[in-house]
Amino acid sequence: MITETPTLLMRALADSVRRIINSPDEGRVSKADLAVLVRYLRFALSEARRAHRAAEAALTRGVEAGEFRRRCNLLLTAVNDALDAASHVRRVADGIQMTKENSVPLLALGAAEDGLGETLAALTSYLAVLDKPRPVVDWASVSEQAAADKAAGRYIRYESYGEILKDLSSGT
Amino acid sequence: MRYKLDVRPAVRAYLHDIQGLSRRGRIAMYSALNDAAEVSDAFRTDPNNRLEGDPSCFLFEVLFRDGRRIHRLLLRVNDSAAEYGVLSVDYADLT
Repeated sequence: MITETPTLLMRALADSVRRIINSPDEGRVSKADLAVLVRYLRFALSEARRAHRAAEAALTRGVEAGEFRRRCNLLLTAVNDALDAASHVRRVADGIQMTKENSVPLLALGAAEDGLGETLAALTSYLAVLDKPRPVVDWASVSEQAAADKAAGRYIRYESYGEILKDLSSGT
Repeated sequence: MRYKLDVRPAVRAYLHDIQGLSRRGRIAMYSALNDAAEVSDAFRTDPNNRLEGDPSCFLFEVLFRDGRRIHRLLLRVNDSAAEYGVLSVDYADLT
């Protein structure tokens, strides 16, 4: 599952990038500074991708919806922060002429923006599923039928996952 | 601590007869049902998970992926016999 550490780290990184960019030296970021800022963002991207992979793995085996929503929202905030930081870096980078020396960080910045955007889109799609309203159910009627089944001893008991698998996988 | 699961025949039939799931998706759905048997006391007693109007039930919702689609399995679980180690699944809905 998505742990909270990478998301907190990403937020801290994004804060650092913003602080550097918003310092009185804004607009006078050197090529070396730019390389460092982009390295921060690449780290944020790798953490976002790691968290995204963890979310996909959790979805593959099944995950409790409430906890998944909480973790996704946390990661979404962190990715948004990182994208915001990337946009600040982009503004500075746009003022720097691309040369052979700084072409790598500028290209890496584009890759970080794209990668963070992809993660954001995936998280948004998860949350869209979670935000769909639950079906409207007549719970009183369900309770009545359940009580009748219980009284008649019709319930099927499963004591292990093996029993669930065996019974529900049967052809009948 | 694992609970025994009592499943209503209608729920069993519903889950058994669901169409459109791959074998892998079906296994994920059965795992989700199994997860209900391993629910924590903290989850069960969290007021956010209790069913309004019926204090003996809580809602347990699991997401799982099957191919490109993400499914939601909603279960209504009656835990009035939880102290005897039994939870009853009264209702299921897969979307």
